[in-house]
Amino acid sequence: MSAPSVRVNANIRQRPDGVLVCAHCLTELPGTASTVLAQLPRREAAPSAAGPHVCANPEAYVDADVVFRQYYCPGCWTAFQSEVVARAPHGEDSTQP
Amino acid sequence: MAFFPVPGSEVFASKGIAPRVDIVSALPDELALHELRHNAVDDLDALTYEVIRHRLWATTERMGQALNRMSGSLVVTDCNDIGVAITDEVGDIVQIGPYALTLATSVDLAIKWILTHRNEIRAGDMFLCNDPWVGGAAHQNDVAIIAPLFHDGQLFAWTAAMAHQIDLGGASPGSWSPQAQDVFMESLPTPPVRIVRNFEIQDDVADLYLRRSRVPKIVALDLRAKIGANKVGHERLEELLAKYGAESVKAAMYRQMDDAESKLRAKLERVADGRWTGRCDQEQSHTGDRGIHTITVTLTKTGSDLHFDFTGTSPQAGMINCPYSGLHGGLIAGVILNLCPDIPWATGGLWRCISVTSQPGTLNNADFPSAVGKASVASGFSTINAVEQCLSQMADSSDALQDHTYANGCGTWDLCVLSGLDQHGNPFTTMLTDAMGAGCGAAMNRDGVDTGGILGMPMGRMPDVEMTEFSAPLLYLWRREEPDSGGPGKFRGGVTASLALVPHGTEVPMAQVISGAGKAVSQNIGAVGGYPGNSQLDVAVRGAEVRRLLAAGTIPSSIEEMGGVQEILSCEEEAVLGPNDAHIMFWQGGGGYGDPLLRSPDKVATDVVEMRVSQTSARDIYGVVLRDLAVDEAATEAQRADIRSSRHELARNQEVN
Repeated sequence: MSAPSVRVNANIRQRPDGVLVCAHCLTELPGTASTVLAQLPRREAAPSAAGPHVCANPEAYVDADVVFRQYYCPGCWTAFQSEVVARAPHGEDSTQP
Repeated sequence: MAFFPVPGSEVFASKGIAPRVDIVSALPDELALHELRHNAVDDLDALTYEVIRHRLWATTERMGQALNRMSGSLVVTDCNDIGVAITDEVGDIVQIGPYALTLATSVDLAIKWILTHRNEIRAGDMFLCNDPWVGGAAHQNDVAIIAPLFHDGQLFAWTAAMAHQIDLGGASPGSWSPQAQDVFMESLPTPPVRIVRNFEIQDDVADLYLRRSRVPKIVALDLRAKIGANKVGHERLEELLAKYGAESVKAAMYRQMDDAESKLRAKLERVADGRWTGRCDQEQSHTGDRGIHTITVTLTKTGSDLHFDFTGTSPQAGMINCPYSGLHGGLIAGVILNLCPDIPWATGGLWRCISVTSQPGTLNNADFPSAVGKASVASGFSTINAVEQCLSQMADSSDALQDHTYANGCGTWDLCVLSGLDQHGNPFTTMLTDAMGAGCGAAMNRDGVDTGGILGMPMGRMPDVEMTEFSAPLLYLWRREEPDSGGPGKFRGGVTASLALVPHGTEVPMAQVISGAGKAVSQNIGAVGGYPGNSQLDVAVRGAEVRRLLAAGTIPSSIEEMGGVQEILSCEEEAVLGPNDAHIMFWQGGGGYGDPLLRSPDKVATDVVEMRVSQTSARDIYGVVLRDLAVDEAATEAQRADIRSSRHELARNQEVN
C-alpha cells in the first residue's frame, strides 16, 4: 500500500480519497482533521498514571476532578495526545487537536 | 470579584499598536521627527545594511551588559532578568535584545503612549514607567527606563532598558501579593514620568519612586544601571550616525522591520491555511481560591496573516491577571520563539502580519484596577504557552515547517520571596532565582534541554548557589536535576531541578511569599502524544532536624531524611519559614514530544544511566526493560506490546462503562 500523501500532523495523514489514516500503522481513522481526536479511543485515569513526575493529589490545590487522559490510534494504540487536565465533557477540554 | 471603573484611569490603557499616522498627527508641532527620503530604504546597499543591522543587535547586547555590570541585584547580575530594545522614532521595535523577551516586547506601547501624552519631549529626557496598563512590561516589578534619541534636533529613535526589581512596596515582600484582589493592594503603578531631564536625574522624582521599596538602595542602583544602559545605547547609535549618516541608519532600521515582515510572510506562505487552538490553565488565582482559570486562543492562518482570537478566556481573577500589555508582549514573544530563530527580532515588522481579538475583563486583558502583580509569569507566560501550542500545531501540519513543532517548556515561574533579618541583624529581601534552570520542551527532532532555561529568556541564567547564600542568610542542602521531571516522549522533555534550603545564621523567622502554578494541572504540555513534564511542588518541612544531622556530619538528601512535618504549600500564599524549618522547591521541566513508546530504547538506557529517567519509568512508561543497564530487546518488545494491549483494554473498558 502506498503511503498517504498529505500530512495532517505527525500522527495523522490524509489519503487522496480524503480518509484519515494513522501515520504509524495506516489504520483508517474517523472524522475530519478537526473532529478526529474526539472520536478516537481514549482512556482517563488518575494523574499518577502519567508517571511519578505528576502530582498524585490535585485535590490539595483545586476542587476540579483532574485526570490523566490519552487518545489513541485504534489500530496500533499509539498515543496521539497525553494530558493532565480537569475533567470535562468529552473533547471539550483537550489541549491539542 | 466585580471591578468598578475608576474615572480617569482609562487614559492609561494601551490597546494594541496605534497606526503610525495617528501617532504622528497627534504630535506637537515643535517635536520634529527624523524624516526619511523617499526610496532611501531601497537605495541602501546590502553591505551597509548588514553592517548596521548587526551593530544594532550588538548595541542591544552592550546595553544589557552595561545594565548587568552596574546592578547590585542578583536577579539582574546573575539571572539576566532584564530587557532592552531599540525602536524607531514612533516606537516601532527595530531590535530586541537577547534577554527576557517579555520585558521588552511591550515597550512599543509605552513609547507610543509617551508620544501621545507627554509634551516637550527633548534631548536628555528619560522616562520611567512601570504601569502595566500603559506597557513597557506586564507587572509593576519590571521597570522601564525609556530614552528618546535626538539627532540634529529631530527625534531619531528610542532606546529602552528594563529590569525586574526585587521589591517596589505593596502589601507583601517582593511586591507580589498572593492575597491581592485589586492593584491597590500591590505596588503602585507609575505611568511614564520624566526621571531624567536635560541629562540630569531628577532627585524629587527618583525619591518618589524609591520611597516605596523595602530595598531602596538596590533599586536605586538598578535605576542608575538602566540609565547607564540607555546612555551606552545612545553612544553606540551616535557612533553609527557619525559613521554612516542618519539616512543610512534609519533606512537600515526600516529595512530590518521590512525584512522581519517579509521573512515571516514567506515562512507562513509555506503552510496551508487552517485553525488551531491552544490553552493554558492556572490554578488558584489567589490565596484560598480552588479554581482553575484558563487562557484559550484560536489561531487562524490565512495566507501570510495570523489572527489570534482569545475569546473564551476566563474572566480576570485574583492576582494572576495581566493587562493588554501582557497579551501583546506574550503573543509576540511566542511568535519570536517559534517562528523567528532566523528572522530579525524586529517586532515592528512582525506585527504587520498579526491581528488580535480579545475581550476586556479577561485574564490577559484585565481591566484597571485588577491585581496584576504576578502578570509577567502568570497570564503573560500562559499567553506564550497557549500561543506556542497553536504555532506548534500549525508547524506540525506542514512538511515544510514541521521542525518548528515544540512541546511547552516550563510554564511559569516558581516564586519564593524571603524577607527578614540576616546574620548581622540587617533587613534583607530576596527572591530565589534558581528556577531559571527549568526544563525546555522537546522538539520534533530532539530532546528538550535539561535545566535549559525559562520560556522567552534566551540569556536567562541560574545563579550560583554560593551567590544566593552570600546575599541572604540561607544554606542550601541540595540543588540538583531530578530524574523523570522531563515529560516522557519519543523526544524527552528537558529535566528540571529541585532545591532544599534552611535559614542559616539567624534565629528570626522569615516572611515568605510562595507563588506558582502547574501544581495540579499541567502547564508544560506535551506535543504529538508526548507526556507533560513534572508538576511544580513547594513544600515546607516544619521542625526539620537539619541542624542535628549537619552536626552529626550528615547532609540530608531527601525530604524524608529531614524528619519534621511536611506541609504542602499552595499555589498562592504567604508563609513563615522558621529557624528550624526547611524549604523545598521543585519547578517545572519540559513537555515531551511523541509517544514515549516510540523512543529509541538505547536513548532510554542512556537516560537511565545519566539519571534523567528512573528504571521504573523506563519500564512502565517507555516500555524499555534493562538488564544491568543494557536494553533487553526481547523483553522490551514484549513490554511495549503489553502496554499497547493495556491501552486497548483500558480504553475499551471505559467505553463500555
